[in-house]
Amino acid sequence: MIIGISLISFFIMHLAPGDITTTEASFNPKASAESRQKLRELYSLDKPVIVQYGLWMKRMATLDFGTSFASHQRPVFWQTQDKDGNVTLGMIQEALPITLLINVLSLILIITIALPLGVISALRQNQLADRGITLFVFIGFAIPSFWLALMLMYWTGVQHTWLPISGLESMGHENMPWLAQMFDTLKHLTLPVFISGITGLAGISLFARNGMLEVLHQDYITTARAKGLSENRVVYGHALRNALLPLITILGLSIPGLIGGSVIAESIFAIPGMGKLFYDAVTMRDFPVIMGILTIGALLTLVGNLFADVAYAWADPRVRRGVAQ
Amino acid sequence: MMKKVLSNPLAIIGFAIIASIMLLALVAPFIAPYDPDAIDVKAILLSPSTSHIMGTDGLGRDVFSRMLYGARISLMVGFVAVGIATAIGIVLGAIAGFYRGWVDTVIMRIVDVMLSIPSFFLILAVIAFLSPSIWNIMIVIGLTSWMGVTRLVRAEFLSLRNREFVLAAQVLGAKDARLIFTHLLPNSLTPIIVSSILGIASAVLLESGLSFLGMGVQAPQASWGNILTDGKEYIQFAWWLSLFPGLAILLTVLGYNLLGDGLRDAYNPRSNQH
Repeated sequence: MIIGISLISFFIMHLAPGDITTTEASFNPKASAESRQKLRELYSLDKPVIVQYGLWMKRMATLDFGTSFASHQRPVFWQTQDKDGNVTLGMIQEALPITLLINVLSLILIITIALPLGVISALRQNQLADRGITLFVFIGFAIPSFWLALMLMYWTGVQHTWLPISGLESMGHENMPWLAQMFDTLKHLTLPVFISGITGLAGISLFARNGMLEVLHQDYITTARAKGLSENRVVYGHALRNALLPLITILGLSIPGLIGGSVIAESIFAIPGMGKLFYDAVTMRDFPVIMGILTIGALLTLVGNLFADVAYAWADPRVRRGVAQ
Repeated sequence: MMKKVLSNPLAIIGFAIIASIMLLALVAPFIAPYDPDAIDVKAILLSPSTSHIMGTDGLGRDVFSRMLYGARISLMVGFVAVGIATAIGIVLGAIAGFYRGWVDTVIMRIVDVMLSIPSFFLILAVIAFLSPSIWNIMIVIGLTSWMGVTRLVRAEFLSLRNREFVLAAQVLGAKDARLIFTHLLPNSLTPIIVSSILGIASAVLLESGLSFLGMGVQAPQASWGNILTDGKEYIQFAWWLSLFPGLAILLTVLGYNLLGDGLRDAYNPRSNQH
């Protein structure tokens, strides 16, 4: 699987006309054809693509993603130490926690808001609350997130100055007590988390609603009602648990979308995460960084799906027993 | 089925939205009050008025005219990209679902791999390398969004493959191509159409997102996404530059989603029962 991913991304990179030397040469008119050739040799760009892929895979196996073309040989993935003991932090090492934090927070936001919305909507089907929630869902699907981001930035950040609109820390962040520091970061994260969660929010409430509706019409719900259980027991004990199962899979599948969505949110709010790093790398044709992020992104997706499978087994005794047998 | 669609008010609203935007895009050259690319230094950042109903931008271009021409781009990107994706999806899904076995396994593995790469990253990378242009965008969006259709067609084919009418045709000596094109494909058409309509919605969103990042349709050609990007610079004193393109994208995507959903409800009676 991971090999397939790396193959696809590697060959796409090399279909592209031009390479890092074109970009560097256009910035530096003095760069001669000779020095460009030297650069190519330095990065093994003069070898056939297959050889380059082999070299890259060999380093990949030891999680060595190489060094960036564009930003002074910084390591792409993890920190390195030179002979004087100076540590250079890896680019992904710095960016990944930020993006993960935002995505985990938006997943939490999605679950805590979308689930109740979906359940309410299903329980009051075709009533006013359901209609309202459905309208919200459709608009959430259709709204361009970058536009919503702009409007919210303008409204909460420029007109009212309630929330900061860019970066992760205010000026003087280092001098604050830690509680204030945390609050400061949270304030900076509010808008980005909301923006990257909005589409998922709409999607998951729709799924929760349809799942609940489907389950509520099953025979075992009628049985539960018939044996005189309270409505609460029926809804939360019997229906919700079963409706949650497909949602776990959907949440797992939505991870690539969340990661992809971080490009827009991060470049609008100037947050130094994976999305912004990727955008910058793409504009600089920085192959190692692009490859590194594509691979890490795909890895994250696989890990997410694994989590979903584990969660599924945890939530559904039938799957667990099937495994035990 | 048409009757059911017609009795669904949301689907009708969706259809009306799409139809009117298409009409406006079609007649753009006749109703646009100004040349969409004409720069007028005497009319920079005018707020909406009777002479410029959506105001003017930072170069004095009429926003309404640009919006009309932008509609053409957005709709075209949606159609062509989804056309490409659907064509790939039908071919691969039909092969996988009809022949099964190792061909099926290989195709489905490719689908899994494609699905696990964050597609926005992939699109961004490819477009940046191929230099952004409207054709490249359509092709790349198409090439990265065929997986859903493939799965759908495969599932339809798998469930239809052993039905009596197909087996009967096979026993009568129909060739594979005939089975696929006259028996299986027509019977899986409705879900394909529904998913294409929903696909157009997301392609329109994608295009505007790419244009917003400067990786999409390039200036001076107008698209809703890049009008919005221009507007970003002036958001503090020219709200009309950001508001109208955003609303247009919202309405278009909403329209396609409502229509697609209505069609699905009509096609799939189970979702209507509740």
